[in-house]
Amino acid sequence: MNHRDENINSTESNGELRGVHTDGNGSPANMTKVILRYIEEGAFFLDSQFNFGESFSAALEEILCVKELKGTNFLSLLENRVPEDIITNTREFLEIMFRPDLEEEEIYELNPLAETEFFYEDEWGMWTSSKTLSFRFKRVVEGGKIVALFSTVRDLSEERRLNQKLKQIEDHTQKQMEWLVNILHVEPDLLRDFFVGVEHEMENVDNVLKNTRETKKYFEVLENIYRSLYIIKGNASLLDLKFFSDKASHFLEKIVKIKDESEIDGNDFVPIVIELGELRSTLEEIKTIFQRISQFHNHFRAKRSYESELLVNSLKNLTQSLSRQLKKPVSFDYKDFDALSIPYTYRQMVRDVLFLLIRNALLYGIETREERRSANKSNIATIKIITFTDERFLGLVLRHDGRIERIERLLQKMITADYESEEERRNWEGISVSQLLFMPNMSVGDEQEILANSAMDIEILKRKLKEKGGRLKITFTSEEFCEFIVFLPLRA
Amino acid sequence: MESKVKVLIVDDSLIIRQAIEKNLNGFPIEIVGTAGDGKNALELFTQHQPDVVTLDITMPEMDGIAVLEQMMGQNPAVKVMVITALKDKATGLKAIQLGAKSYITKPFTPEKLKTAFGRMLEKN
Amino acid sequence: MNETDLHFFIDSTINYFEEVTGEKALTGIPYIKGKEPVILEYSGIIGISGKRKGCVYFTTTQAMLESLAHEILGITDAATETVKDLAGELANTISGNVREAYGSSFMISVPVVVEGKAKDIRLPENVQSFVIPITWKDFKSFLVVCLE
Repeated sequence: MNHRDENINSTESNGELRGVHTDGNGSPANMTKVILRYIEEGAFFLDSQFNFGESFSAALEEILCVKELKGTNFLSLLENRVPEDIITNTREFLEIMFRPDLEEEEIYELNPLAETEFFYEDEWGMWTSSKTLSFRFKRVVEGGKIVALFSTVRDLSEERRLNQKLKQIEDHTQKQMEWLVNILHVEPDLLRDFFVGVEHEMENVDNVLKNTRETKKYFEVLENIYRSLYIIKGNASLLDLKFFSDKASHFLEKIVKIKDESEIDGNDFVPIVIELGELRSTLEEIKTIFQRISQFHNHFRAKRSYESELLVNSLKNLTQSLSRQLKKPVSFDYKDFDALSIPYTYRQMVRDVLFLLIRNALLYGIETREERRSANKSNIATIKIITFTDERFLGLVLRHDGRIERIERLLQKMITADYESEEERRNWEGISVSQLLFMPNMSVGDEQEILANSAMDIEILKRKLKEKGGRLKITFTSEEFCEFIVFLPLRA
Repeated sequence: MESKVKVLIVDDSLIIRQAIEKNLNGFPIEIVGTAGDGKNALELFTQHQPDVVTLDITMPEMDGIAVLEQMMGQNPAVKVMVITALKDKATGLKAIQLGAKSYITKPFTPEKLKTAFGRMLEKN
Repeated sequence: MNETDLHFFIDSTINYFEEVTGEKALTGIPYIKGKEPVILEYSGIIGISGKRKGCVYFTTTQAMLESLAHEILGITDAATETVKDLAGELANTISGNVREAYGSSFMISVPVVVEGKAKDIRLPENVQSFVIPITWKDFKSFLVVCLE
């Protein structure tokens, strides 16, 4: 028996509730009225027809925002204030509350008004506000017969509102804490570069969305947005910003879904623009967190340039993480890589390019341990990155000792192909070699995502190089190594 | 000769008032006034005692629901057709509960307006 | 603001043109409004309060409104007053129709019409605004939705 039951039974046993309800002229009824006047909760009696009794607490009308309740039918009161199904359920519940064959405790849980939203009309009859109310019902028993129900009603709106707000704050704080922990291990300069990179790509997406007028180009627009998001995702992964790369992945999935449709119109871009909005909000929030902690970073940070170390570390992390994931042991050699020689304006670009090259080397160039063993190669593959400069160019080299049979096959194909001119042959060769190097279908089996991503990589690389007037050179020897050299003009 | 039905058109949009007037000109009616806000509508209502009112809800000065309540208080026999952009059921139900005889939502086609208006006129 | 919210407004706009003129309007690619003004010759603005808060506006050209007035009233020489009024009525109908989905606690104000394209419409700060290009016949217009 719960506390409420004890109260009711005790009052019933000393006769007070009987007097409350049935006395027409005696003092108990008056006393009840007096008591009810001072109760801060809503309290009232319902007869077997579910009509309000003469006595109810002063707070009731205020809680319900309804005047002149006496004689009003409770179910009528609910009309237009709670959903129809709840009214039906309430009727059934009240009916069984009057059935003596059912124990009160057993039906207690069935109360449909235990917590319900009450809608209120304004002066024009519009539903403009609502309250969360909690009704409780207890039987009033007289001579072994259920003669009425005693009900209390509490306004839980403020409590619910505060709880909801608290939960929102908690969720938000929790999310921000996760982000904070996630970004704390990232060097501020890298993070700043990341922000610049994301903003650059988002700007690209914005421009594409704003400036495309021709319906025919909608699929191109999707491709373009996909590329930007792909870069954002890549950069987030590079810094191990999981929450951000997850968001970008989610965004990419939506784009893929739209791309799969045979025909698209402006409406199909709605999810994209919404995702973009969310991504932008996330970026803004992270930037705010970052700004808050950056002073802390600066305070404790030694005053020397970290650029080289930071960039190399992030590339090293990427290599190690992919190496583990793909079960391809790799040694990452960066002793000839000097990030300080990279002009500030190229830092983001260099990171993006090396990210793509490393990823592709590991995915499609470097063999598995077993394959290397059977080719009499060292168990551990090597990826080496180098920087060099002359007066005109900044050079980036990525060399790996993975297999290059696919290039041999390509060469074979090129030899047998029919070209109209030597120039065409060279053009085709240049593009195709690079494309083939990024072709995944020779080594990654059925990993569809990787397939799609790889084709994207070469597109992105080409776009990035084109933007800056750079070029890519690929050299290789059949059994020894494969080398990618990227030239970026130093005087744009 | 049968007397014409007196109609008051209430809408804060000039073009909607004009569109209603244009589309109803085939009916045996006399437009006794047009109003662009609730207060003016009530003044014209008192002055002309129209038989039929077309009434918008979202209006400056006084909302259409409040106007409807007052009109019904003054003349419970008046036929009010609510023409509003507010497409929610609660608003429609409220208007009907307060005594409106017809309820159509904007945007309306001439046919939709004429059919609803004709049906309302036919009812006693 | 989510996809469904934005779709309510887009659908409401498309429905308006179809219902009034029998000719469908086309939705262009939506985008997030930046600092650049999105404003044409006439803009009907609706304030939103109640369960949702924000602002919605429809901005368009005089030519579109004149053509629309022709569809509604059969006139070819719509007065400036009529054109201006139609801009407000359009915004009012688009927003009012959305109550079918949101219910009556989605409160809309009476429309305010801004004439001229000199300035941008002031929208609530810190809330993203989405711009949806709408083309009806060959006329360009924009629906801008800014909801918390």
